[in-house]
Amino acid sequence: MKRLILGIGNLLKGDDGVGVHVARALKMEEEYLGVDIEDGGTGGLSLIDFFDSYEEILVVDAAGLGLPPGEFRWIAPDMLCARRAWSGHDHGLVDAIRLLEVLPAKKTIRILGVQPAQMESGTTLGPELRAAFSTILAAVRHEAMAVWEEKGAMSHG
Amino acid sequence: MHDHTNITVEHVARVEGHGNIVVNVRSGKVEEVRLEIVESPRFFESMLVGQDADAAPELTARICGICSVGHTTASIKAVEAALKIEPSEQTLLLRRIILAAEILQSHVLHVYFLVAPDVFAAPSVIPLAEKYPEIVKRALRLKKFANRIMTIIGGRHIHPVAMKVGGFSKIPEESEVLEILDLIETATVDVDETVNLFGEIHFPDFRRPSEYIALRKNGSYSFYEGNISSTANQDVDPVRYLDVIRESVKQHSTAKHVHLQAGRDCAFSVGALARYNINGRETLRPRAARAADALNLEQMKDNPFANNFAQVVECVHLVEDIQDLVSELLARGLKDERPPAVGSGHAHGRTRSHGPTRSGVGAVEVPRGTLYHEYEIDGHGHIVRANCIIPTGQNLARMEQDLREMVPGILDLPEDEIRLRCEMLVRAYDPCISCSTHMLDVKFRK
Repeated sequence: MKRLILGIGNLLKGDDGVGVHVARALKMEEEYLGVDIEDGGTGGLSLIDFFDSYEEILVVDAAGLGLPPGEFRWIAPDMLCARRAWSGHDHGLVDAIRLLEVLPAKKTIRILGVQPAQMESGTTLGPELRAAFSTILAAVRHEAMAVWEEKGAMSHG
Repeated sequence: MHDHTNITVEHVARVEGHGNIVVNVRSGKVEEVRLEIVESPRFFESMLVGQDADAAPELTARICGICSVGHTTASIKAVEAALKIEPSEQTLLLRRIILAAEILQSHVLHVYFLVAPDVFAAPSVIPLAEKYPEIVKRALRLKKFANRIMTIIGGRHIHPVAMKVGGFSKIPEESEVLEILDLIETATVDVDETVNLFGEIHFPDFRRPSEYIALRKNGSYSFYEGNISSTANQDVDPVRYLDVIRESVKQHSTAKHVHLQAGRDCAFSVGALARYNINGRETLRPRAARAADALNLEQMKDNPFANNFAQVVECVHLVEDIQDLVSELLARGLKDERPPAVGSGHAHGRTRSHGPTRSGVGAVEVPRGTLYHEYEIDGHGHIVRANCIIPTGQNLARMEQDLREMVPGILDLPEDEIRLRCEMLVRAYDPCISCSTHMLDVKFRK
């Protein structure tokens, strides 16, 4: 079964859309990378329908990591926490993953979190993320083609 | 009775976005009730300015992950109204089906994942799934059914791409449309079971007179089109929506409030209960009408908590709607139509002559109520002004007024119960305070 690269975020909110920008930039490389690439936007719980068809999923999203803008980390899913406990917001990625845990499905999910600088309105990335974009793409390409050894393993970008 | 109570519910749980409820009670009297919206305001209206008109629908689809089809539909209708483009009958059928599917999936998300935990005394749907896995699996099955329809017709189940001004960029295959009919039977059983589940649930008995607004057309239960109708018997062409409602800015809220033009303090509500109240039980599909009876909706039409029941009833109605619309589509035979080129000269390799600025309004019923998009488009096909009024903005004033009217009657309850009741009331409106930021929060363990 193929691996999925899923870029998520709000395309109208500047750096929040970095995952979507990554998905769009790499879409043409699907065949070369041997993976499927999807733009999950702000799909919330509907992301589960993407998860159904894949056993290995690599999610790219903006993340509050306390790092300089443009830096990124690989994040184990169990290290995510919803901002307002299990609620609020629109049942996003965190909720979709938690639900998969309760309704067991054999999935390996890895998350690349990218530190945003600004999430003001706008359909383009800010200067810091534009500068870091090629490095982010390289990391995603590398992980897309790598052998994944254990669920939720974390490495540093 | 609490003499001095200050209740603040920060970040109301299980609503879409950030909202605080502030209730101050002094000497047994409610001094202050506010629903504070702390989400950063969205500036998507200004982002539309300068865009090609035919690019607007796809851009507005990104406003919200749950109401993508709704925003796209309102946007398309606004552009088509301005440019005098008449969509084909097939296009209208496809739009009605995909809109029905989106409203269904949104309602399922709300009643199962946001409301059900309250009534089953679970902090969230996760413990609910552990205790009652069949209930959550049913919800996911219904959501998947609706998502599949959106994929077949819109090209994607999140942020559709096939919906265009004038038509669809890709017409589904007949085999795909037939697949929807194959799935109907299970969906029908699932919505019936949803009615049974909610039939065992009792919401607080809080009734008050209120104005409701929804689109209505020819006595049918309409979502895609209709005139703006209210309980005060207004019947207004959506072009004149600003004759009926107006927006205002509140200091404690970054979201704009909306009132009736008739009076500064006249709040109203939109959404499933409003649609039921405006259209009437007799306009529902037969199975949905029976569901309304089973849930005693007619007896609860003045109770804002009944919006949850109205959503369940609409789920039944929408599945029946989808079945009929899909059958009609197949009976007509699918035609490989393509939308006309309507964008700016730049986008289509030709130069549009400079003409007058034209404006159009697109109004559509989306899960949470009536959504309006209004655009002014210049002679080059560029948007020069945009106004979008979302349903939650229209409900905010009514939510505050409901809190103000409900709280004095429940001051004898324990403080936690008052807090829960306030949250449940806000949640009943299914508010989508923001559909914007999705940044993850990460906690590093040491």
